[in-house]
Amino acid sequence: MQYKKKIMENLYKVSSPERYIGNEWNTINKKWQADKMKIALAFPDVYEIGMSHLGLKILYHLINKEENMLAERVYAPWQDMEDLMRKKEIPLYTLESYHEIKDFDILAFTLQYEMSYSNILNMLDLSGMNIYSEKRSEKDPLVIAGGATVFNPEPIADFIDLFFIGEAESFIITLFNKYQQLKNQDLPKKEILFELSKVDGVYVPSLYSESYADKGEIAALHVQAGVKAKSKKQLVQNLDQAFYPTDFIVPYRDTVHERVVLEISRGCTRSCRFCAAGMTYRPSRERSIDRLMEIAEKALKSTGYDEISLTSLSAMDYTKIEELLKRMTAKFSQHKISISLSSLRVDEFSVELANEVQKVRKTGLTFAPEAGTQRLRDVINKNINEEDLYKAARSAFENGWSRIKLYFMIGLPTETMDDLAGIVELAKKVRDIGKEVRKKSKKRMRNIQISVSVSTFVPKTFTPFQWVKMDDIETIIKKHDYLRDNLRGHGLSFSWNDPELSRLEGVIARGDRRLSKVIASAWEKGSRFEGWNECFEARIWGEAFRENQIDPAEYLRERKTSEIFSWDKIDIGVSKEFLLKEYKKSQAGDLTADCRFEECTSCAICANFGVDLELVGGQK
Amino acid sequence: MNYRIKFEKLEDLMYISHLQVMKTIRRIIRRAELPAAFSQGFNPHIKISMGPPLAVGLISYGEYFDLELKEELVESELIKALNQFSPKDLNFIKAVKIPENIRSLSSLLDTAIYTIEFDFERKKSWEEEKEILQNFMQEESIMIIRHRRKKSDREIDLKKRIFSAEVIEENKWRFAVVTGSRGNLRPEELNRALKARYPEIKEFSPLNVLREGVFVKDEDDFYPPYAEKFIGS
Repeated sequence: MQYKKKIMENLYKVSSPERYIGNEWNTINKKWQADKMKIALAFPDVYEIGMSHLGLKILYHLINKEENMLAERVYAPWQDMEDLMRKKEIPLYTLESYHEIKDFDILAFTLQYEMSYSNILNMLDLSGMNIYSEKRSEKDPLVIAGGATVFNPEPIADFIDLFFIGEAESFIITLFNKYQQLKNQDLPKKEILFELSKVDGVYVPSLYSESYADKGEIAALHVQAGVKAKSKKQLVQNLDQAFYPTDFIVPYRDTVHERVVLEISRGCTRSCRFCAAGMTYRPSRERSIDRLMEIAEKALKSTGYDEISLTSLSAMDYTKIEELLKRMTAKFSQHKISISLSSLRVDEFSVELANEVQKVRKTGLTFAPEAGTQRLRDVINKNINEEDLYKAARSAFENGWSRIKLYFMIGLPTETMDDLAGIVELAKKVRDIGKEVRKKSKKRMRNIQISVSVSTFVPKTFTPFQWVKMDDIETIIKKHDYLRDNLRGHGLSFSWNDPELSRLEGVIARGDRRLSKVIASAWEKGSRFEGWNECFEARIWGEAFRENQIDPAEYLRERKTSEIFSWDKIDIGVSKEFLLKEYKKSQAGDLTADCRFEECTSCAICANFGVDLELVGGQK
Repeated sequence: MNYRIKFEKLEDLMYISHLQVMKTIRRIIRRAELPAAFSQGFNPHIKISMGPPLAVGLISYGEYFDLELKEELVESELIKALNQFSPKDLNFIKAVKIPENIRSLSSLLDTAIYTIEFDFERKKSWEEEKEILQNFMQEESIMIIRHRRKKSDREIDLKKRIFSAEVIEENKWRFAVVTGSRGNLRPEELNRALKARYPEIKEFSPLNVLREGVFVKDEDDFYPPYAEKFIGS
């Protein structure tokens, strides 16, 4: 059913109604026909967050290219809209045709952060479906999910029929076609899922189970007869040949990325030991400059945007970044198009490049030293030193930036109070450099402002730190207090994350299937949008854990290296041996080099996928 | 060359804000590759200037903006180009060349005309409706509380803000009200004021309100902002 009139009549009652109307430029509104497979692409957060996500943009256009399919978008309604929808009996609907979700064959969620899981349940419920897979009917759409946090699917295993592991654009069309074939044979959902589980990269949780030992340990992983034990991540071998859209949808509302998003490379091999993306998105692959120029030109023309953003896990590591920027500015600056870089490495070179392209708006610059002392940076394999930071900061101030944000983590393995003192010292030194530059500067400069932003380290699956203990709440608070007391004074500010929220993220990140019921309880009690600080209620989650007799601390403890992990059934291509070796090296403070620039670190990814590194500048 | 351009914003885009319309128009101009003039400074923007804001939730048949181009274009070609790159329900209707340094839209446009369809719990005859409106308009003042986003509520007098009102056919009332820098009046407030006096009037629905457009009041008549008397040099 379609509910357009009812929606239009009532939207004036909610905040930001433009979130719920669609009809943006470049929207694809395919004819609603019986013989088309209909896919609702869902992002479990509000519109403006979801609209900034590149993965869904790629899938939206990729699926709509297929003649026998149509894809439409749906986002999580904010709480006022949820209330309105429940009151007026408007089910969750897509922005293209205003069809309710139940009219679709497939509901596909993208998983970007653990703190959006309760929104998934809410969206299922608003669609009029049961949140539990096993209780949904044969007629309900198949509920599938993939994305950044899919590498540990277990906490939401009870709600999702099928997970796809890895880069969906490499195999999702094949998967959907296979689904259509099976559906045409009128097979029951159970059999369809069994058949689909044979497709590479597919994980059907109902065919697997876990048994548990004491203290949160896993005794064994079980799998039904005839089903593969491990699901292997799928990926795009070559970015130049991979599909990339140029006719991006242009939102009306301000969103996080109102610009042409140009993915210059995928994967990062810096081997920062806390970073999940650095492991799960391997290998490193780069798009050629020619292809990037072609995409940029078409996308600018199609959207009317006046900005290009080069995105990557580490944009500065693109092997021909200077040449790329030179060609982009030469071609586009005459049309008043600005170019921005998604992330800056902490060094002088990066700042100077950023200065070249970002001639406008010198608002703020972010550096991420991650840890306060060289010792701890070596532990996490963050390969920068203090001199780099000071030089980068000086260069930034000299080029006219006056506000610098320094990003750190607290709670990293082996951290002591000395490392926190190191954060304070670095911040003050950077401020003093700024003041010195400002004093000498002939140009007028705004007051120097150094904001120190600290998040709590959360051990993530498939990283060398997947075995370590997360800080307990008292320790986190003590560390926050220390930093707050010591980062006072002129030109300094300090911000931090809610420690309860970080702990919850920690529980779910390394969680297992027992958490499904906890998430369900929290949702029933009204928890939504945990990723938004103002919406998170620690009390609700505390109750949810207690009711289900789950001790969250068991998920945050140190793991033995011999332990079975719930996520051992997923194969990301990087070997567990490599992660363990990195874990041991971290304890000794030994560094690991980047295989793009030095020798191979034997992470096993290339051998596992039969690929070589695809670098436009060649391997150094 | 400067142009004064009329456009309409219809149902599918009724919830787009004034600023979003402005942003969208700039993007349309880029997509159409029109020879737009840019503002100076560090953050150059395509030079357009809008008429008084159209509130979120309203449909309008006649809004305006001024655009500066570096080259001269035939008006009909300009309109065609804009429409080709415009989302559904944002339509460009007419462009008129205007001299430089004439009065801006925001200082000229002072009137909004609305046609509102009223639903009644019990159907009224045309005569009855006329009588209700007449009584309403004869009140000395029509005080109502205005709710303001992020500001405290304020009491305002609607009477001063209504230039004229008539029942044009059964269920269809037309109001000419002040808009722009001299104050404004929201159709929802009219509805509330009427409902307070005549409870059988049903609750406001934005789909029942049409803004016929914004105009320039001159004596007792209302003109479009590119009428000869406003753009003649």
